[in-house]
Amino acid sequence: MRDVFERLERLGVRYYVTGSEALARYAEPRQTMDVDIVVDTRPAGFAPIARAFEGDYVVNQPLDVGGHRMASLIALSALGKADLILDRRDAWARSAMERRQRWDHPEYGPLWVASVEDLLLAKLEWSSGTSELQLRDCRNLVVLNRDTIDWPYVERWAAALGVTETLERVRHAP
Amino acid sequence: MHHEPGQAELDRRIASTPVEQRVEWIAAKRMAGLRSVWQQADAAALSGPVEQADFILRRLYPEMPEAWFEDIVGQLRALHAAGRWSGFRRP
Repeated sequence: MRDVFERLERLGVRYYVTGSEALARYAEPRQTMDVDIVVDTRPAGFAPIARAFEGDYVVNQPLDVGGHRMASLIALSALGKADLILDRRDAWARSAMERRQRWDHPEYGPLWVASVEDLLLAKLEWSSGTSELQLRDCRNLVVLNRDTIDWPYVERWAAALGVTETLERVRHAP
Repeated sequence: MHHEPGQAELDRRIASTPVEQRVEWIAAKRMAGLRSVWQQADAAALSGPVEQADFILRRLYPEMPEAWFEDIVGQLRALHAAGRWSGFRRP
C-alpha cells in the first residue's frame, strides 16, 4: 500500500486517508481489508491517476457508490486494495482537505490522514444516523479525543451536513 | 446506541495502547483474513488464477459493487490471456 501513496504524491495529487485505517490513529481500530482514500481530482480529473497505476494495478473506473463517486485500485501482485473517494467539492470537503495532517504511518510511511474532527464528521455522515458500526466508531472517536477535538469546528460542519442530532447522540453516549 | 458492558475498561486500554500497536493489529488481522481466504481458495481447487482471483475477491470484498467485480475479473482475464499476469502472490 505504501506504493499507492508514493504514486499519488509523485503525481502531486492531494489526498488523505480516512475510514478504518485513519481510525487507528485516533481510537479503537477496526478490521479492514482495504484503505479508503479521499482524492482531490482537480484540475486534471481521474484519467492521470488511472494512468499512474495502470500496468501494476487493476483500476476500476469511477462509479456512484452510496452517494459517493468512487474508484478502486487492486495491486496485481499482492492483492492490496485502495478505494478512492473522488470529486467531492462541497465546502466541508474542501475544508477537510485543507485540514488533513501528515502522519508517519508505522506500516506505510509518510502519508496524509484526515484530522480527527473531519474523520468524525465523515463517519457521522456515513452512518446516516443508523449504522451501528459507524456510530460506534464515532462514539469511540469522541471518548478518546474529547479534550482535543475542536468542538466549534465539528458543530459548525455537523450543522451544515445535517448530522447535528447524530453528533449529540454520540457525544453523550456512555 | 447500544452500550456494552466493559466498555469503560476497553476505552482505558485503547487509550493506553500506542498508535503503532493499533496499526499492527489492523495489519495482523488483514493478513489473517488474506490467509484464511487463500486456504478456502485452495480447498475449492479452482481451475486457474482468474477463477481463483474471482473467488478470493468476492470473499475479501463482499460489499464491492458487482460492476467492479465484473470489470476487475475481465481485466485480469485479459492480462492473463496476454501473458502479463499469472495470479496474485500468496501472503
